[in-house]
Amino acid sequence: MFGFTRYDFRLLINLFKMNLRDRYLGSSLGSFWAVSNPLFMLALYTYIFGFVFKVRLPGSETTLAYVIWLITGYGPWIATTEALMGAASSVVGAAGLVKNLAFKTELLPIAGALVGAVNLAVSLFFLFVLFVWAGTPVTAHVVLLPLVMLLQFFWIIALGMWLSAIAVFVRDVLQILPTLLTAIMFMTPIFYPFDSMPAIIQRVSLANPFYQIADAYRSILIAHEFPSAVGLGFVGVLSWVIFHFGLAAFRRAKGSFDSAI
Amino acid sequence: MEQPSPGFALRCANVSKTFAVQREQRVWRILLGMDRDGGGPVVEALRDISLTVPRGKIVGVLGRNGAGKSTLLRLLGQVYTPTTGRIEINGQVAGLFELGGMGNPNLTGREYATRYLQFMGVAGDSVADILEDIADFSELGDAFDQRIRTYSSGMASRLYFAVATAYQHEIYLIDELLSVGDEHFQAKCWRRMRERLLGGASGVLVTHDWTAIVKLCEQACVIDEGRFSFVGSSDSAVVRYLDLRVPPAEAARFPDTIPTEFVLRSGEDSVIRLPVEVLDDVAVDLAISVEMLRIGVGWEIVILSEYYPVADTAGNYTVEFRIPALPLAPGKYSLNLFLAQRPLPGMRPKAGLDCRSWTYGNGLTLRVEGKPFPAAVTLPFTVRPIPAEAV
Repeated sequence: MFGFTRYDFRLLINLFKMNLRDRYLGSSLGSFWAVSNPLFMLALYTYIFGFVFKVRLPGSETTLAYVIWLITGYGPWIATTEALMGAASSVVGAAGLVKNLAFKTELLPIAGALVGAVNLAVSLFFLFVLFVWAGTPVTAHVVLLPLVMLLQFFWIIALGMWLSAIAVFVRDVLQILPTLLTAIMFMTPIFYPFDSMPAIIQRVSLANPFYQIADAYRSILIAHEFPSAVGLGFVGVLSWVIFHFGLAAFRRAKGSFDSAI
Repeated sequence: MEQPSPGFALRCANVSKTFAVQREQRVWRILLGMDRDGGGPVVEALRDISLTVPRGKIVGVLGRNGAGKSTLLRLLGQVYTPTTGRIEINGQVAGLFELGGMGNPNLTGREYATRYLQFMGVAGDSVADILEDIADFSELGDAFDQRIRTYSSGMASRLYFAVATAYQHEIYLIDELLSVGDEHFQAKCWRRMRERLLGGASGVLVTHDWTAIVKLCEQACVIDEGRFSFVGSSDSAVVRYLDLRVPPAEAARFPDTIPTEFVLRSGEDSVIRLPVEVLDDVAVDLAISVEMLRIGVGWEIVILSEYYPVADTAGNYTVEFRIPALPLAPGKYSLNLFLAQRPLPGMRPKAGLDCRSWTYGNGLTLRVEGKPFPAAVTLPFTVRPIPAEAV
């Protein structure tokens, strides 16, 4: 598939494990940060929006309802940020490997993105704790959750394929990306409901894959309904197209990596 | 994609690779694929390369500096993507490139080794044993736990070699590898490469050192300005590479009708008949040798005769070599023949007239058939117990 063989798949797993070790086991409190970083961010935004701004969901008066709603969107978003940064910096960060070992470097952004899965797991675990506490039911719709996660990471990998190759030549990408991601976060209905946006922005947001992914999580976990098939289909097709061309671009450019890295 | 295991470890067909000149300035065009034709100056590093590496064999690529050897190796290692052509790989690849580390000289030798093993997916109980073996083989002693930046270049390359060959990979891509360290360490390297090859590894060795090709490879290619100028047996490749002059074969020669392969049976009385044409009235001597290629060791002479007189005047002759109870193990040997002018008293050296030898790339094949046995030679001995009182 996409010119990858089972040997590449084995290598992808090795790279993923290496990334995990580097990211979380390198420092003495490594696994502590893996859990506490997303929790800290979740707590911070919960405090700001739930208790300072006192945002309430329409039709609900409790802060807890808003917090759960917030985390269903923001938890996966933290994972997206982490994964996209991991993918974008994957080639630059693995200069030694790229220069000296024989392997398909296009595996690097994929392995880099998958590290975000740790964050996603932490957020979702925290979320389910809240569900139990608040007595929110979890319905059979969760069987679709893996599909949403798959699409989320496919979308991130598609973008990461481009970003990681560009970052080799234009390092500034890695500086701009966090700012850009913050901007995207506030443009995407993650902290506020979709309906509170101006109508014209709403229409534009439908084409925003980040929104479609956040909305899919909320449909499944909050509204207990099936996510929009059109929306997810759109994310899937768009990701496929971007990934397809990104992979081709990466493969064209990788011959120049060792001189630029 | 599971597929039946094919008979080759690595294959590339019609592979070409071009590099854009000044590619730093043309990154966007390269990324967007607008650099195809007429996009600017390009360098054609490789053109129309086809190569098949059978399972369990090392194929050599001989070439001078800048001939495209390293580019080829990186293409095979999938570090570069070919501009045109196809590369198929069946196995886990270990690339031994310029033997650089992983870019981070702040790692200790042990950390580097651990990282490499992680990359290759070695896990569990075997890691400790392999690390032990690496420390032992590289002879770094206490330095194994010090940072690589404190190493001398010799120490570093000993580490890299030890790590890269610490366990059996399926396919090795080797770049000028075996010029590591002093003679003592080189001998160890060769021994280890030999173990790996006998363990069934396949690979490609690119080098300008023809002796390495002769030692490790049966098949070899000569690469020149990005193209294969020769593909064939490694001895012929070496001859092409060194541009050796074959004797003129004017005064006396082996006729073209000489068989290129002789088949004998191990342990049986054997005869090899060789036609010789003597064209001038000169005294001609003939010598014969049988050599075998031992992978990782090189060519070893099994039988080497002296020069025997063949003729003193022009004419067609047949020379008969008799070997009673042929002591060779079944297998493939190189049969080498040398015709020389007999030196008159006080005259030297012996002037070569014609030859068939692997050193000239035209050696004949001697195939010995029979029941295989593990030694290289067998002697016609018998064993008989003698009762103590009879001695």
